[in-house]
Amino acid sequence: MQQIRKVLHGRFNGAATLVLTIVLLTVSALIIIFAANYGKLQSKSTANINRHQQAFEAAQAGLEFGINYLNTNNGIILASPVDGYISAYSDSNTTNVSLANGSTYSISYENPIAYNYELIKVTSIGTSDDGSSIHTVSQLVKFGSMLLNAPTVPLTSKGQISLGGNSEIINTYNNNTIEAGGAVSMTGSSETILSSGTSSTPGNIQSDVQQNMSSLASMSDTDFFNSFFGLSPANIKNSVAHYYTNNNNTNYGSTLNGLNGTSIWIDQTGGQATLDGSTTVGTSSNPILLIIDGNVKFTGNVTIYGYVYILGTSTTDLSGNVTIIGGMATTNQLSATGSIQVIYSPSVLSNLQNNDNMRYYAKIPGSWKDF
Amino acid sequence: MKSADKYSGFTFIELLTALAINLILFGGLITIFLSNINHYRISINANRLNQQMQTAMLLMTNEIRRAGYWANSQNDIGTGVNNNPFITTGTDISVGTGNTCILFTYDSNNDGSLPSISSSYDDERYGFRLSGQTLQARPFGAPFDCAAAANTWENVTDSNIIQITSLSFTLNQSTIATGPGSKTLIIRSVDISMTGQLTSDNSVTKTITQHVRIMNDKFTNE
Repeated sequence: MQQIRKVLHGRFNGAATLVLTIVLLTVSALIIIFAANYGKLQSKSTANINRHQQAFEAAQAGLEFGINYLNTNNGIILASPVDGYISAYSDSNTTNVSLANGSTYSISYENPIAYNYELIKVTSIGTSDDGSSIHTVSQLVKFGSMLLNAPTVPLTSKGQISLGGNSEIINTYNNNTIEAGGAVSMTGSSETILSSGTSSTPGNIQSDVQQNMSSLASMSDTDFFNSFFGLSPANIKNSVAHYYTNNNNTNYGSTLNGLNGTSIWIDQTGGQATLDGSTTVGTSSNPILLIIDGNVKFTGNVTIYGYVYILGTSTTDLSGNVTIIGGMATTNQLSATGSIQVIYSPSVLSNLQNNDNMRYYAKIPGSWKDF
Repeated sequence: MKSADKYSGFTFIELLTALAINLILFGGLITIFLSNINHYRISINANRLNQQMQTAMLLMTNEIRRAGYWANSQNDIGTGVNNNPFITTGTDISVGTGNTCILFTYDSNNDGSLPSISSSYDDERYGFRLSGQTLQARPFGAPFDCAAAANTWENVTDSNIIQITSLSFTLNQSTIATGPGSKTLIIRSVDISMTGQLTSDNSVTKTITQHVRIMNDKFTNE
């Protein structure tokens, strides 16, 4: 009897604890397994979102790189088109490029319109580090240049122009030689020359000379600048290759002589910026963009291939043997004496716009897509 | 007697002590068990909330980023005007109703034009808003208006599972001068902030924020 009691009260008591413990532990384990599985699912889902994001970021990085790569390598990328369409281009900088986090991108270029190589569609495909997520983004870019809008007139001024001595303004491509916001006065042996021959002379100003143009006179200096460059003076100043600044009379002749295929900005905060002696800047195939903010005096044997732009409330004084092949614009008044020739040349301006150092591809707003 | 002594059981005191110890052990076990269950319940609920909100946010950011895409955007080059039908008054991205609603359009079928409102095809007008405590998206054909009746827009979140307690869209704009006069490029971005809670347990809440750059900038000449 004692034995039975012991069995009943002793052993069964312990067994109940054991059984309950086992049951609770089993239920706990099941719940933990369920929760862990759910957590795993959640981790997977978060990882998927991350990889999706990673692929997108990689694609976007590739797109930005691809646009810049087109800027510096368009000669190769756009070479040898077939039937008006550029050929598929691929190198180690554009195909399966790995980023630090293991994601990759591949870039491709195409021109949507046959024979138009200025409008390019850049497509970038981003892939996540494990290859499970792929995202494609594309953007249209348009060719642009520092001299965004090349004028078709040799000489443009927002202010007055006085031509004297043997100055000649020459345009053999169309019938416009001068556009001015102020009055144009011609004295001495000055003349304008068209393909048909001499047009305007002192006392006989023809329609090739447009003076007192209110559309020019009413423009602000900045707007006048923008109409050539498409950007504010500060923006252009930040991106020129050669920058000089002086506040007293400075002769830039030897500094600029021989420079070609580049952009030059001179801030003349005092005195005059002069080009003196025998100076040749730019060549027909590698012209220059010369922007001067301040008073200017060109004298001596100066030959410039490219475009000359004078900013500010300055005076521009051309004397001596100055030849500008391309074109010229001034914000304020210009006076020319001596043997001055300003010759309009579309090929020089085209070479200027297409110069590697001054051209770029800009994104077209509204053309980005990822679907 | 000796053998009876040898097999004698517990005394009553011993029995009570054993029972008391067992009871304490049971109590402890059950407490641990319940706290375990509760812990995992909260963890699962937090995961569920997390997942629902992340998915909703991803959906919004992917769509909003595309606002203003136009297949014919190259047609505007050099014109000095913005003819993009997806970035004009009434279709350009806008935020309304106390910043809880966003409307935008993009050229999803690449045909260059914005179709009329219709439920029979993708009418290229999109929107998200907070309606009550539910995130809603505009379905094709519904009014393209933040004030549209609640039953005209589709629920994105399931109010049986999560409640969105606050949602805000902040449209940021900065401008860059791009040419003569008032030609400017407007760079836009949207900051989204969303707070949600579990319907079954309001103590489980989560706030997520996201900055979205609208990839298509707005050209304007006004």
